Amino acid sequence: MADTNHFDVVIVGAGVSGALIAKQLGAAGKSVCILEAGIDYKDSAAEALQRFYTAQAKVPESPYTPAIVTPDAQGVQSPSNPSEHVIGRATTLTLGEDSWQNSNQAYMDQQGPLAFASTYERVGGGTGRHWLGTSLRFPPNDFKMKTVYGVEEDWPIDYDDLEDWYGKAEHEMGVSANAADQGYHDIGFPSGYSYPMPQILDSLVDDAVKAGISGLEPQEGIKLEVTNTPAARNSVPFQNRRQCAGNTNCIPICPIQAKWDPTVTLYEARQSPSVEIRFKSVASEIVVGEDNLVSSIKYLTYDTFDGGQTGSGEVTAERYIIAAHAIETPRLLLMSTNDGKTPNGVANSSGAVGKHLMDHPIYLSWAHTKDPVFGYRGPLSTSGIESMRDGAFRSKHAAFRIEIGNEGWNFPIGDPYTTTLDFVLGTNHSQLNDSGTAQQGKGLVTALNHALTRQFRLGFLVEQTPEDNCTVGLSATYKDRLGLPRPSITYDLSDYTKMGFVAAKKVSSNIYAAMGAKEFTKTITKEDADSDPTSFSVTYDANGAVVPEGTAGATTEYFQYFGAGHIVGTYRMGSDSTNSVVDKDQRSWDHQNLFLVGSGVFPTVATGNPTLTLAALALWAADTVLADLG
Amino acid sequence: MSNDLDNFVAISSALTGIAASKLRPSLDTHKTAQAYLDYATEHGGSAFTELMGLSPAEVLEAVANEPDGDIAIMANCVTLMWYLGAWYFPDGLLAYKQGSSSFAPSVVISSDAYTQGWAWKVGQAHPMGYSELRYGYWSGQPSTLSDLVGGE
Repeated sequence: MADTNHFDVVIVGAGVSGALIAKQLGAAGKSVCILEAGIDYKDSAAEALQRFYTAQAKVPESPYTPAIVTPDAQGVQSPSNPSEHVIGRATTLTLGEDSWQNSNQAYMDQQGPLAFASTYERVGGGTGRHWLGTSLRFPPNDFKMKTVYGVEEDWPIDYDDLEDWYGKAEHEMGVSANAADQGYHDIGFPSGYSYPMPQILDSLVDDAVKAGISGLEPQEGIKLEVTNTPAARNSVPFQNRRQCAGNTNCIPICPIQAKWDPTVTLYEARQSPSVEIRFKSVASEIVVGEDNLVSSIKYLTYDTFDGGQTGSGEVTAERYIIAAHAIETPRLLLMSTNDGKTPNGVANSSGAVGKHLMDHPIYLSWAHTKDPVFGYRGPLSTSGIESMRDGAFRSKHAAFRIEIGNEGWNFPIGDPYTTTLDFVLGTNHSQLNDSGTAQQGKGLVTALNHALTRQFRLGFLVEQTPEDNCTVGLSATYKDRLGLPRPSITYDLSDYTKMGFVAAKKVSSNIYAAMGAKEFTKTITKEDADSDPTSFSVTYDANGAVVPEGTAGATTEYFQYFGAGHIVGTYRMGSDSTNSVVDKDQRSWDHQNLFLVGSGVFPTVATGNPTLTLAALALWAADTVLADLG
Repeated sequence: MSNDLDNFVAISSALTGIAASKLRPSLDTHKTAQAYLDYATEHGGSAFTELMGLSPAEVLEAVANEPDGDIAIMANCVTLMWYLGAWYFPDGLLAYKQGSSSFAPSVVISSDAYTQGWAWKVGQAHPMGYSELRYGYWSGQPSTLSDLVGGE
């Protein structure tokens, strides 16, 4: 009888990378076991939507499990205690001054000095369940920042290496875009290339920004242009899934699955009889044998989120792939000490595991247009300004892309709730009810309509540099209910990144002025920067060099940032085994049968949303593993 | 003589500015008005009973004359229930209104209540996560406000 615990390949994590790789391997007839910490997506899809509808705070994590909130006797929801859950996860609800370091509310043991503001899911389908669908390629210069601009790092691969894999990923996931629009910053396509679907239609907000900035002076020598955003969202029926109906809810959940998410590919992967997914199976140790190869992966099982461990298992394979993204992957590597044989964790001879944690910290700004632009309609975002993702300025400050939001002021102030309360009660938290008048009847309808239909926002996704002091480690103090140490995080932003915020703010204000829109972006004060873990100050001189606060003639500005959900960089790829964790094939330098995939391999965060690139790299890794298996 | 539901819809229409025929359509698949009346009766206490004893004009008068009074706060609760599908607790709402709290605690009444929220329609849009429209609608103009909320 065959050993039911031995496979050609074991994958940890049923997210974007795990799903794509499992499908490729299964189609080639290889036996695959995915260990997934969370529950089966088949059990949870309808419940997830109901959970979202009834959530008081509709944050990205709100539809998924384990529930991030617990209701009190009156039904008012507050953050759940992560130590009571077998699988904890972070939530954006616990980024406040009083909550970010409260272990009874926040899953991650945040050590600061700033808060890491992005979160992830531990559920079948992974964090891809709540992604936006943005599928941008990285411009060639993103891969060679050291060579071209003398900052950050070069990747061990370049755009040309990835070009074909990008195309394969776009077709596997189903991306809507017109290639002719996407060739900025020397992004290349093979002759005659076409995306699988035509672009998603632009929104009225996009049109307003496009018209408004047409006469805007170049910014740092760069002319700004609005570009339709490639998205893994159906502009026509595709893969037996419906056309996008503009639910304006890609994050946290598309109610009709017009957006690709990993469950689509997992479903296809499971059509292969050789692909098995073990849900509620939490990988707890990567076992390394005498030959320095990985010999098995141990895991713990549970029945209920608030119960404890109910069992355990161990699986063996020819090749092992860790696809648990950039926080849980280093956590697993670091937990795997093999009774002292690998005291610093698995795959960590370089000491780089857990280092260089990155995100695209977001500078968020918002404004009110003269004429209605009708937000809260269409996909969350349909266009962006990609013009400042590359340019000579990158030798001095961080680049950024600008995402145009279609959801009014939902992201900035939680609207329509805040403004509705203002006009009903006579308060002015939105700043749109200056007179402080409480309205009823037709007056309420008119005032609220005027307020809501003119709202829009811009999100500036600023490139964060890889730094040794931004880390994922193991908490010495806090554990989850399985008894495993929770992740501890240190996080900060470099001067280069902070100066990207200074540039973003300037560009933002210039865009609003060109549009004739009135800006309402919240002013951040010194007091905010001192107390809020997601705010900071930066002081710079006339040349744009960062100097100590109080320097004569210098300018100090204060900023708040938001997480983009782009968790990147904690087991980076490189060409030198002494300062990177995997090689260009995403193979561990230390253990030849171990692959680490996902955005954790990115040496830099680059200037685009990471999913398409990590998907392309996952398909590449699947190819390499297949070649290994022969 | 009008029954409770008629009076509740009339008061609700006066407060919200949404036509009664929209709040309680002839083909009332969601039965939102009845659900809200039941919810407010259960959770609104004596202030809701008092409010229901008034005519719509008397409710508006009470809101104007004593905006922080029990009747006015209950009227705010009813308005917000229709606009946001959530029940705001009167004490918390008063504290928020008076500026002594930066947060107004609430519960979402039901999935239906969320998807039937009027704030979205007043914004000529739809609840996030609940579109009954077709691909590409966002590239064109929305329905007019009067089509959505009724009345002139």
